[in-house]
Amino acid sequence: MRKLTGQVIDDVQNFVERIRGFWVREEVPRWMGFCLLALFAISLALTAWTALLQANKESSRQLARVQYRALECMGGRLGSLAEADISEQGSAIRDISSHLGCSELRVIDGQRKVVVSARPEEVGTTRPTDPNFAGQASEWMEVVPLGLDAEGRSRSLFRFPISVRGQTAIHFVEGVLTSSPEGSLWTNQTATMWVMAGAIAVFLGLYRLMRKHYRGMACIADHLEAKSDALSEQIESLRVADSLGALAQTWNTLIDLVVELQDKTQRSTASAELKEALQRSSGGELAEVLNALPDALIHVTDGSVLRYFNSKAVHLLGWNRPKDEDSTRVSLDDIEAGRLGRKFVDAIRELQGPDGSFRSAVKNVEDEEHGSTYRLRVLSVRRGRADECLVVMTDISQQVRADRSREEFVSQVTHELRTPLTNIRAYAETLSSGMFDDPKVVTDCYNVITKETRRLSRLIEDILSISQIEAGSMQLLEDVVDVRALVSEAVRDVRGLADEKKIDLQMDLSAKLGTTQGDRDKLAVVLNNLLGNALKYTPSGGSVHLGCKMSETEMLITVKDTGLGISAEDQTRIFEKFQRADDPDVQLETGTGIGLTTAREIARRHGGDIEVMSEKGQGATFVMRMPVKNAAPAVVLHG
Amino acid sequence: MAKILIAEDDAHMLRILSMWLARNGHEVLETRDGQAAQDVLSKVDVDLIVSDVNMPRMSGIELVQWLRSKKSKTLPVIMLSSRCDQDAIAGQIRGCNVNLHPKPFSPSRLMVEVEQLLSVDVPA
Repeated sequence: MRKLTGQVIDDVQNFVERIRGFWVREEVPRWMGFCLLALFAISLALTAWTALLQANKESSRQLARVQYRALECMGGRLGSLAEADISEQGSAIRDISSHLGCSELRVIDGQRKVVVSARPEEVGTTRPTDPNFAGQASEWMEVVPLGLDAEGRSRSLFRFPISVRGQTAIHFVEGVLTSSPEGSLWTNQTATMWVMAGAIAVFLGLYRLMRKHYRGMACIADHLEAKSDALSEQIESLRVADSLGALAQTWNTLIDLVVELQDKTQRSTASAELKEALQRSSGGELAEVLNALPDALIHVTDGSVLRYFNSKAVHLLGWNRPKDEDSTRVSLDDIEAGRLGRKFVDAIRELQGPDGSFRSAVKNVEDEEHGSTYRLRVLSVRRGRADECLVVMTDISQQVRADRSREEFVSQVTHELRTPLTNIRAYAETLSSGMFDDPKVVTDCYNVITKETRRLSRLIEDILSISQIEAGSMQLLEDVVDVRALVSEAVRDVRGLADEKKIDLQMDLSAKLGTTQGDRDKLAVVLNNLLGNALKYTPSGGSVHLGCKMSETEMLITVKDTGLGISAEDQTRIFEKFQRADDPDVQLETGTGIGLTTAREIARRHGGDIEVMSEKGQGATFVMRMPVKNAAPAVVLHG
Repeated sequence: MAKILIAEDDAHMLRILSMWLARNGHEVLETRDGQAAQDVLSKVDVDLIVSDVNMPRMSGIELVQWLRSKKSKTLPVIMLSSRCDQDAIAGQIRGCNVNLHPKPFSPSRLMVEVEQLLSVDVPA
């Protein structure tokens, strides 16, 4: 999988680089074009502006030249006249002034007295010397620019000398010339602004066109930028809206191609990995691991194809696994060999819908032939693949047997508890009824109640002991146990039962019996259980023999009967919890299956053990060996 | 006076039932298992049976099934059981017309029931 991811990332990165290169190549002309266009538009506007200004200036200059020439002609003409004649030229001066655009025009004599003027009121007045002409008068025309007037026209102050006939003093023609024709410059500026506005509009239009053209690519670029980190997994997210234009559609087609390529790559890699895994499973490490499982595993795909099965599954389903690679194509329906195999397949099919999909469920399958129970679990393997499942088959026979034994135990314990309880109640009511006043009957009632109470008590002790054994919390007391008293008391407790069943109960105690350290009550339970079993499973007329020997280090108690006997198979079984001999004759007797378990556990906790020697139908001998601890000197009985 | 058969493997229970029934003036036939009871029933006609369920050789259930199929469909039977699966027993003896009682039980109440069953005149 890691290899697959790396390959996909490499492919996508290459693709991104290609896209980036394409983008960069497109970016240059885009921005260069934009800049050039902008420069062109600006330079065009500037050129137009400059040209207009120059044209305007030239035109003004030409006009001024013509005006000044006209003024000079007028001066020459006036010079040919006598002063008296000049003063009569007022109307002519006004005409000239009006035609040449002079706001002022006058002729003054040497004393700066106005001889003639465009303004009649000035004639005869004396003009002060204009500060602009403060210096020595030139023999040429002097022009002093006065700047623009309120209407934006260029104004110039001019003065030139003329020689008037009959006068020695120099006369001057003075005036103010408005050089530019009215409104010309303003008209040029407006035109320039229109040109510039046009240039900007053209630029904006071109920009919009370009932007529209490149918007798809810009969108792609944004996506690439934002998603480049997770590109391998989110290639789909790079799609842009088809409505963005032809380029965006082309891009989306490219994405489709990449996705398809990616899928093919994944399938190819996954297929290779699966093949590798299968090869491993047919003889590699994984197979060894899975074959070591106690459970049977089957991997089912496509509703019925057995993709994998471990050796336990082969053993359980009972068909021979083919050696060649095609073994992975075995179908569920191919399992016909074993009856049990067919059962498993039927159970799996029951958990399968009509469309071949599996549902996760648990089902028990019974193997009547071998008395086994299997728990079949169907588990989903991958999300979205309902036609694929993992079937796990676990042998739960032991658990089922344990559950059954426990149920039987509860049932038996209930029965065992109720029996003495029933007797106690019945005999107690007999006493309290007052209907039976025979002293012997009354005594018998008391005896039965006492005996059944002890029986009940021992039973409860047994149940407690087995609970403690199960919980691992059994505690032993450190009593000093008089072995002779212990054994004698145990025999006395069961004497009544032996007499009832007409069984010969004998006791053979060694002369040397001392004391040992141990839990007196629990050891009494051991003896009672051994004797109780011997009497229970020995028919009337039989015999039960109890022997007890004791050395300085070991105590040996033997309980021998002439009863049903125990088969070799049952000899280990009878010591297991809740288990009884698998013998119909034994089953006839009630029992909980805890007596011998408790007895052996108590013996073992005292450092000893209990063994059984028996043959079916030949009676049984139970031997309890126990080390003697802190023994007091043996009491030797004489006689 | 009626003739009553007791089938009970526990000696103390057998004895106390016997005592109470005898005290009520009935003749009591004691058996220790279903097989022995069947043998007695084959030879002797009785008026009522008091039986345990769990017994060696033949259980009370088998005894009553045999009785109903082979011997009598009306003979009153009282069955006493110390097993915890009373429902299962009831299912096994359904249709056998048996009065089933769990142990422990009250002997005096049992006697009342015995008298009631004996007082009903049933055709043989």
